[in-house]
Amino acid sequence: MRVTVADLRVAYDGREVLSGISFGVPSGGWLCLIGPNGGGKTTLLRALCGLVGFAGEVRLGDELLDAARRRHLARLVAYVPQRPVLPAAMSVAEYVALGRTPYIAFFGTESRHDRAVAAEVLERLDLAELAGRQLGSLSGGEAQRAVLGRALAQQAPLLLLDEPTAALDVGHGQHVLELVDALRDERQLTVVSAMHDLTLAGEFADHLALLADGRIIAVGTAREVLTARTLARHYGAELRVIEDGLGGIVVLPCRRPPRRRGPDEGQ
Amino acid sequence: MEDPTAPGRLRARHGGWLFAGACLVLAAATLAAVLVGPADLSPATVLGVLASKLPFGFHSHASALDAGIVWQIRAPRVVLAGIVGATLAMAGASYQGVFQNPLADPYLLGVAAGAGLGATLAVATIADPAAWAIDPVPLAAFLGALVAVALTYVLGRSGQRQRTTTSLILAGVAVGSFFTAIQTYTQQRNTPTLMAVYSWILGGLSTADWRQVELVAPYVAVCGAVLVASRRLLDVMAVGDEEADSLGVRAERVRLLVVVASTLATAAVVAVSGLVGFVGIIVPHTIRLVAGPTYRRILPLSILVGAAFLIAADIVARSVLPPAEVPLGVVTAFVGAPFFLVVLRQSRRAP
Repeated sequence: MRVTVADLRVAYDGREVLSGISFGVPSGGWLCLIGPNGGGKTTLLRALCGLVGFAGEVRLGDELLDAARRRHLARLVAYVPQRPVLPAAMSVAEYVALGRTPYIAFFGTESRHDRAVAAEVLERLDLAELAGRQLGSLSGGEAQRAVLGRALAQQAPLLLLDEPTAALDVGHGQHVLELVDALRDERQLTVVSAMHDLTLAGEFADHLALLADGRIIAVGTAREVLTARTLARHYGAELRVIEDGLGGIVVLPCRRPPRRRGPDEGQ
Repeated sequence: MEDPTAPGRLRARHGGWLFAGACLVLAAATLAAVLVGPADLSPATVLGVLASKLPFGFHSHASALDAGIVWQIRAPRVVLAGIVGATLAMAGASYQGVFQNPLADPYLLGVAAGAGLGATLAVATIADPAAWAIDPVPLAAFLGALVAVALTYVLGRSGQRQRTTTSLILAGVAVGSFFTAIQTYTQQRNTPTLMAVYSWILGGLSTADWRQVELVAPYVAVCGAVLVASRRLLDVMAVGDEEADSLGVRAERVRLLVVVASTLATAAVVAVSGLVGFVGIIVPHTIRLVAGPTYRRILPLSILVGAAFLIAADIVARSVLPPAEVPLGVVTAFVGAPFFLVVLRQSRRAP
């Protein structure tokens, strides 16, 4: 499902936090939002799943987002927040089954089909063995897979991920991204994610969009967006951008040279 | 297809046994309650009278007086205790679900204070309640409870763009205190009615009759059906308002629905029973410990066990100090307050 955003604006209490946001993601594409804290990445993701009101136009396929009813929207967009609420005593299977909510009538319960979908998702994410485990007992990587499982159970063509690797170590972070990439291939998912790890963002996403102060500063491939000058300017950081020789781009944070005190400074 | 990963399957294996056990406990409590009483009736007499009410053409040989004691005094009291207990437990469980707070109880948003004020005003100002077509005290208590919760709900939003559960709970505390203040003032200005108000507030079922059962049953049946139907929504609410929204459920609407249904049912039973505390906390919690966190199980089990618990508490209330009665609210508080502390300690330890 193609996602098209045109001149999207979001304001909190009269203060604009996103303005003039326009971009498109083709069906099956992966757009990664990067940018400093407070740049508007999370707000943009929340706007794309209807959790914050906005001006402008968001089209999911041929449908206008604001015209879609809540339940219908939840069938189009699955959102994985940065810090999902994980009820400690709930089992993994119960949690993943919550993803079927948009298909279940208001007062209804899961049908056979809903249970089959949830079971398939558990199987696909290697969660079947953990099905009966309580969420509170899972490791970070297992918990992230459970959350991803709930999102997949929604069978929505657009997947929004807010910092999917923030709580994970290098290995588990990579596994999760590989999983998302494989799922996007299998299920023709369109993915929009926010990420802080610029190297991984460049490795996995087709396109990057740099967001700062509520505006899109640059959109394009990793090679186009991840330049030392742009990054240094908007992150206010000392970074080295290195081509790894395999077609990838590595962004390395490094220590700023310490400022030497001149003879006039002192007191 | 055999479905190895159906939600809660591991616990589901015990689900049937839990329901059977709860039904058994309820049946035992009911049986004990109809057999126990100051009138010395043999079990055969009691069961004979009850059997004669079933549509099997069975005739009891009990005297008219004995039959009256069983059918007009004991039976409605047991049924009413069951209805009150079931309602308070079910409303408590639902409140805990929508407020994501293990210590939420059905009186959280001001039902108790509102009902107390309503009842006090009725007792203090109506000179001749007998002249009314129906008893004005329960009616006033019912209306007072509804007014208090409606006020809490309106105030819970003021000053904020959205109601949060915290703002609602705080509004409930404020409304509760305010209504209690007016109630206490009214009570002090009308000292001759003090005893009547006091005994109503402490809760009890000594005036139970079939008419009261008929009055509350429709509210409890309709609201109970709504709450039981909402059991999956309550599970969804466990992930918080925002994620519930992203799953296609408007959390605010679910909360309003559950609060309205719980309030109507609670106000109806409080009007006839007075303020019986702690049932709404003790029962759902015990069930949560045994049956797990899903409301698919907590809600129906709360109804069965809540009924059994209050029937049993009422046996204690009317049999420890014969011929006097211990107020029902005192019995449940006596068991409930220590339990409340245990829950508090546990919820602090929880991750």
